[in-house]
Amino acid sequence: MIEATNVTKRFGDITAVDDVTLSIEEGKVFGLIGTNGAGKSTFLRMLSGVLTPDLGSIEIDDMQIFENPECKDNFFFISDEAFFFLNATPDEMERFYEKCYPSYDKARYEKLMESFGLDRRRKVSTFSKGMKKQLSIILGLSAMTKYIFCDETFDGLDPVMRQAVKSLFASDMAEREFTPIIASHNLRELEDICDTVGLLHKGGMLMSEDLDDIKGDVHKIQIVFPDGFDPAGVTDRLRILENEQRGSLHTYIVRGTERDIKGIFREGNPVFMESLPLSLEEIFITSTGVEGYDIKKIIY
Amino acid sequence: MTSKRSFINMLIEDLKRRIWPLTLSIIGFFFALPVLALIKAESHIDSLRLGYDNLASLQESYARYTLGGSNALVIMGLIIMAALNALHGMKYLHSRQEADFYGSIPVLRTTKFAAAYINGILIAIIPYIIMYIFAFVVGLSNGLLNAAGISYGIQTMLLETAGFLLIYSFIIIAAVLTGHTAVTVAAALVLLFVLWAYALLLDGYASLFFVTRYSRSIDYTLNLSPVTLLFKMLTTDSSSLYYPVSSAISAILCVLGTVALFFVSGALIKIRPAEAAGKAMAFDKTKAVIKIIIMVPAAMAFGAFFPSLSDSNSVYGWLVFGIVMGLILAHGSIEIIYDFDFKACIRHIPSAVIGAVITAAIVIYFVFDPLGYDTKLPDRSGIENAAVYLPGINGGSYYSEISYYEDISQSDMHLKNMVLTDLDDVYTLAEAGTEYAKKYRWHGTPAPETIAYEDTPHYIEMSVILRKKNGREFKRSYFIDRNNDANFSALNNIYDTDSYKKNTYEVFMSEDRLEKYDLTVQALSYESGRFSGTSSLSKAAIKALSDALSKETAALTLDYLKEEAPVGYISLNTKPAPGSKAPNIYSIPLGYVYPSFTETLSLLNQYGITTYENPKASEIDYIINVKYTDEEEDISERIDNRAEIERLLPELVSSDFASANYAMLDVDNQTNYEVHFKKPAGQDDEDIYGSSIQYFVKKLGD
Repeated sequence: MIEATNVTKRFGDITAVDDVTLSIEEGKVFGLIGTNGAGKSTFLRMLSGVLTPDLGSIEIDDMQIFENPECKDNFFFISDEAFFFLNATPDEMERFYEKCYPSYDKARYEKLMESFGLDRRRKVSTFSKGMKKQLSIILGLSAMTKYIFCDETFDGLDPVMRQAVKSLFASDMAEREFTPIIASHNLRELEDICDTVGLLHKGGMLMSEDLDDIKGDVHKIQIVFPDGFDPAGVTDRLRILENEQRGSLHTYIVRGTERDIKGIFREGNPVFMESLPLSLEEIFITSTGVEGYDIKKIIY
Repeated sequence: MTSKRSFINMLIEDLKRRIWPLTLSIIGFFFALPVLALIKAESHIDSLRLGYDNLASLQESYARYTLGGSNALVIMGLIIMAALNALHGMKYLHSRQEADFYGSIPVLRTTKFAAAYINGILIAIIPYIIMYIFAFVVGLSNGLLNAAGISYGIQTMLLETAGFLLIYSFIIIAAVLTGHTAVTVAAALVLLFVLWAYALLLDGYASLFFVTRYSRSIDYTLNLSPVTLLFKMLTTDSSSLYYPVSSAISAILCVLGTVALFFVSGALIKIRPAEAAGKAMAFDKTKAVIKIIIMVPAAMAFGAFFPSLSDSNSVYGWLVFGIVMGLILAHGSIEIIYDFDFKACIRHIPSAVIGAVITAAIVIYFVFDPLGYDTKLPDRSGIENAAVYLPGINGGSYYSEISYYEDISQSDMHLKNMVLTDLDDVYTLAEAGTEYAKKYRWHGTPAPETIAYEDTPHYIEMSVILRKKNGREFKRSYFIDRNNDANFSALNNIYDTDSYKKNTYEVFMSEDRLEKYDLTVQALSYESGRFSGTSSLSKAAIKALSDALSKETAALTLDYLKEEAPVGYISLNTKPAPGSKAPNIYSIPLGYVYPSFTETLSLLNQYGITTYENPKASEIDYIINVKYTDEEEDISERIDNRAEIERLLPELVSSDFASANYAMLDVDNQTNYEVHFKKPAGQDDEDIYGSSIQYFVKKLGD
């Protein structure tokens, strides 16, 4: 369990993280979402013990993080720009991590390297950005830590690799205590992996909710009413978050249970009615009333 | 912590990342020691085979220039490795990526830091020691290394290692305090040299503005920078293969300093914010302090620089201009570096104002002398005793080299044992000195040398120590008017004291020196300006001569010194005792011989030494009065007239001795005479009959 309580971090005049309180449960994938400069990296760097909060506290499994190797044994941090030793090969990096992490699994490293098809003796500096990300993930998974913190790690991975990593995460979560915390500015990237998401904006945590709860409460309905029917008669009774009309086809995003929403729409004797899947981006935009990450409308 | 990530593991992992500095260290010390050793050995063996030099001398040369502190390549190598290893080892603190990496892994920051710190030392010192051993082997296998040489080499290694450690630790501190490698270099230069620069600047300002400042050696400033301290530790006199005790003490202090700096760095690492990586300074709170520390000497240096360019007597305008420019430039440059932004040069004005106030306070202290450095004397009731040194009483070019071996100034050497208990005379002179200071301190730096040749007043230089009852000393150098009756009377009284003479004239110190330095007298040497000679004498003969010289020197009076210059100078040629650890001193001064020293001159003649008091008209062929116009035109006059020569001779004093008692004897240094002697018929050998030309100056009349 990760507990952040009223965490604030400032860099000079800039408040990077502002009074964030957050709980991250074990065994779930936590997605930390926010625009560039929202404070995601700063929050993860505090979570990793790289930075110390100016105010508030962060604990992992009831342990302080900063300068606490016992606590740090439990997590692996993949920075947005992961560091590799000059001219080092993956094997050389592996040997370093092996000495650092008590549960390090060398056999797993070898197996994953083979699975991903990365050359263990090639200099990391000659790897592409995506290959470096893959290597970081392999090293992180081989460390066999309870938590893994990924800062924009999926950015740069091709869809196949992204899917492979997601599968590995899912597999590890099924087999052992494993909690990935993934920070990204790309909602789509986290859509099919996160169980819980937190939305950071301008250093503040706008929301932090279980994805199933969000999805269960917001629905996208496509509907065609009979000619001459005024939809206002039914929509006035619904919590419409978004409405789009193309010809006779109406698309509504509505808050509430699917059963209640459809029941009310049926009172208008629709010619056609269908539930569509909502993307995570749509959920955020609609549930927070934000378009294109411009959340000023919500705050002010 | 598990054994897996123990300190040793971090040490090994860190070392893997530092292969190129290690390689550089090996190559550098390979050339600086074994390769140089082979080159020197080859050259020395050739010298020995061809008979150019003897084995003992070559062994000493090998020890000194290959294994000793005179091997500049090794010293430079150590300084470069200290800088390189500190910068390379600590660069992880300056990179955001590395800060994230090392900050997140389950290893204590202090463990990582200690591993990087220790490796920086090992990378330099292990190759250094190995290469030293090779150089020892080269020396031993070629017969160029004896026990003294080995000992000297080992001492050098220890001193150099101690110096390296301190320099390295200072640069480490600079790296910890900063967040950017380029700024670290600048910070390291500041930390390494700032105290030294302060000391030099304060000394320079004191010299510039205090009229009564007691001139002292600035050697102490070498202790204020680890770099200059390293060079100082490795300084030996040219005749011995061992270092002074002070070097050993300095080395111990270097090691203690290193240990202290290691713990200070470790403590800073614990609180150093990781976000400092990439910024100029790691700790915001240090910014203002460091800026002020740099601003003050920068402003003082600029303040001293501009007046030095100006020929004007008024230095104060340029001083103020230089200080203001120095403050503005230092403040602006530092703020730009802090923020990596030119626009930052006008930020943080309050700290700049503090720097300006401190600078102003220091400069006001020197310029306006509010504490009365030049003009006040300590309360007489608190004075235990005093000492006075007049360089113009027993000076000249035949000064003793003992002060060099004792690492003490000529004045301190004479003052240190002198105890004058009659303070009336000393205070009379000191008060006259303060009056002079009050008169001249606002007229630029006075030029007493010029004034000294005027009839009235006749200023002479005098150093005074007033020893306080609390153990502290008040030291000043004054200019006093010798022609003032009260002053001359006081001078006379002091001159006549036993302690003054015994600490002024070398003859009274010679026995102690022979004993102290374990020296054996080989011969006696006498210089008379025209003749010089040496004579091997028995101990008894030397004792008799020394006694006569002591007695006649003790009888000297200031009135006599106003009339006569010395006519000769006696010294003892000495030989150090075999195996002695004292400096190898080859000459001990006995002192000047005045015309009134009839007993001394008689003994010298008895010992077969040609003395030569004054030239006789009958010996002289002609005299040339050397003169030049202001346009450098030679208008010298030849004097052949016997009557004119006879009239002139009593007024001449040998230029070799004219400056011995220049505080009392007034001579016209601007008028020189060449006295050309007749050569005995059929004789051309100057060694027997002395120089055919002797140079003289003319005494000034009353």
